[in-house]
Amino acid sequence: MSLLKNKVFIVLSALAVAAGVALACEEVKQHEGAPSMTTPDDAVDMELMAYLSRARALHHEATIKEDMGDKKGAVDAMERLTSQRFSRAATPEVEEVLSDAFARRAELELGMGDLDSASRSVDHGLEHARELTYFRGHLVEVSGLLSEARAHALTDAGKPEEAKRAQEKALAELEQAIDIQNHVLSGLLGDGGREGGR
Amino acid sequence: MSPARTPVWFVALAAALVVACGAAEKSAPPAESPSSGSRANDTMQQAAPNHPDQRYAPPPPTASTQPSPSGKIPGTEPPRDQRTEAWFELQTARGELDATTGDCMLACKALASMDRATSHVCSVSPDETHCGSAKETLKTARRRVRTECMACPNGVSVDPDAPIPSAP
Repeated sequence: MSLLKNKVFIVLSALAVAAGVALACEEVKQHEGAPSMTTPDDAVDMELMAYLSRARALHHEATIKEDMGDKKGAVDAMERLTSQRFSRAATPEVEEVLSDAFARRAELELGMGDLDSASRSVDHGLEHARELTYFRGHLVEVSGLLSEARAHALTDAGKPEEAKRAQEKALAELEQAIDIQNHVLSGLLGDGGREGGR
Repeated sequence: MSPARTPVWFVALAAALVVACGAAEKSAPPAESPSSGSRANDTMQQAAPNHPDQRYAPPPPTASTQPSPSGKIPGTEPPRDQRTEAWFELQTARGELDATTGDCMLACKALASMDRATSHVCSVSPDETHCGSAKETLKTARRRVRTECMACPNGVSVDPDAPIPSAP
């Protein structure tokens, strides 16, 4: 009887140990499948996410200011965006945000008649958009609008020769913008349906 | 403890350990993925078992003892393969949709830029050489965007014959 009790005790103990080990093994497996702790890449991603989120917020702010007729306030919002530092320079996303922000800032400055500031913003933007992308095309387009505005101003100032040169520059820039955006479309949509371009 | 009892104790414990870890092993996802591919695909496959979309996966095959032509007994294979496959297909479809949507967003922005630039080209130089050529390019671009994206937001027209500029 005592021997039987002993055997029962041993079997029950073994089962209890087995259950414990099964739980422990399961936990280990779950941890193996789970993502690891924070890595330096995660930190950069978090910073990038925060940067993009702030950029979105500042664009919203600029839109609100614009809607209120406060163009200077909208330019200030873009200024805060373009002057923000990011620890890892030349990240494609950051470069796009900067070129886009400079383009918007240039458009606002152009709308305010501040052609010199607009020209500087376009130049800064082009530094962040060296490839043939939508962002570069947009900046070249704004540059064309800027040259066109200069041509009008020079005509009004009685400087027909300079106005003509500005007009030619505007034409060249606008056509270049069309070419770049057409190139962008070809890259995005493929060449199917293209019946001829510039 | 007498020498006669020792083997019983050890055999019972060893058996329990083997059974316990075997059970845990079965419940864990296999490390091997069903197909090799890009890093993104690998990530999706690894994440599949914990993804909420697995509720859309087809039910596991019903148990049967009849061997399949491949020699395996249906129902004995883990259901994860089917679930992963369904989940993977869903993610692939979503990825394609996202890519299309993203491309069309950018295509529409590029088209809007072309629209504005063409309008200004025609304002600066209304002749056929510059304005006519720019208009033709824009018309072609509108057709292409209409074919691929159907429409654009913010008043940007994909109708080749729409006025230029189409948006204010």
